[in-house]
Amino acid sequence: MATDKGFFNYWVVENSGKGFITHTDRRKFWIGGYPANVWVCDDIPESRDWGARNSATTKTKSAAQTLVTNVVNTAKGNWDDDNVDGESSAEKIARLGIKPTDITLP
Amino acid sequence: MTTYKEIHGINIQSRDSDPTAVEGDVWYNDTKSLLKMFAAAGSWASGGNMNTARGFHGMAGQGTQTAAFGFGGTVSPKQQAEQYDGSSWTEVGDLNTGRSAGGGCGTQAAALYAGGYVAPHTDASEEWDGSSWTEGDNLNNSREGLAGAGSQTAGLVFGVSGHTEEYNGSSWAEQDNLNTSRYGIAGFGLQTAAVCAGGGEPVTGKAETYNGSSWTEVGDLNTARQYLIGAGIISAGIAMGGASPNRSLTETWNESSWTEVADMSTARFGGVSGGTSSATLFGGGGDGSGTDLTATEEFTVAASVETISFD
Repeated sequence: MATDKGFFNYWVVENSGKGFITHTDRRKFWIGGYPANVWVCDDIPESRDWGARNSATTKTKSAAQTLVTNVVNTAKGNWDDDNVDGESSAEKIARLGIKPTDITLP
Repeated sequence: MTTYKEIHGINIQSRDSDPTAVEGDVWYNDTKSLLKMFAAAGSWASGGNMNTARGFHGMAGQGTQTAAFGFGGTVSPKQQAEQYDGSSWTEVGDLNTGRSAGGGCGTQAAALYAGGYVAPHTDASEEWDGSSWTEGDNLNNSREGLAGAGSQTAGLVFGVSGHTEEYNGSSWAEQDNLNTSRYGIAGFGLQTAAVCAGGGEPVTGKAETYNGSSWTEVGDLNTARQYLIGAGIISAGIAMGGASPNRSLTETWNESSWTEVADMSTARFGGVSGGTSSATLFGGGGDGSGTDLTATEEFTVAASVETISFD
């Protein structure tokens, strides 16, 4: 859950797998992953260390939001346009996943 | 208000340094002027990335955090199967028929995958013997969006119009239906002691337990959602993720109620799990942007010294 600090860092970095986010990281600060490899963290020294450790690129909130929105908008259009005659809603979801929805960064 | 002494028989100790503690111990660190406790808490951390990004996998629910098994998945139903060793995923033999959103159960050595989406859905099942998939008996009800529990020779799949079917290693037998018809559900446990949670449509937080002959409604999830996944047993389970919107939520089950615990870092739905309520994982799944993930997160409960703060 997000903290109530209200100050966040916005990063872009690809999840490199094991060790990318550790249990120690999670105990020290809140972090959330979003489409377009966008990550949002509490703005504290420990999260800035995490960004440096993973060679993350810092972004403004608006720039990060634009990255996320662009990915979601493209995906929504693709999802709407990808139809099979006679296919039910549940079948379409099982084939493609759920329809992408707008995401607002904290 | 009840005091600490009334519960434990002693006052909170004042110590110069942190003691060697056991879970539940509370003390005051006089040097640092901090109230501390030794508490068990769960948290999520990154695991190894899957080789193939996908969502709505089948999974061997009796796997563990260090021996998980996922197969099939979206998009364009995939045949790939991958096994996790606690640090990395390795591709193993493909399913005979690529499919997503079927019901899976078993282990890395002996798994079962039944039903699922294959334009539009299938009644076929496949058995994994540790090296390859062979066709098993067909379900009585062709469908997708179901969940599984149990083992390859004592399996259970449920969901979609409430249908529940048991597998004995050679054939499927229809059982009593779920009380609430739904699909996109979390399932875990054994053939004779299983849990079904969440699902839709409409999206629900309802949960039911199965005793080998019938389903009983039990306590609802705190947050209603669909396309979540689960792990564990009937007395100690866990439900993770879900949609819509995408959820990072994690809830543990103690056979009577659900409790919210730590969130994943990435909200997602429809991935691979396995293990227990104190050591599990969420591999892959969809992130709600039309992108399936390769990322894995591992949930682990561990005891540590925590500082108690007063806001």
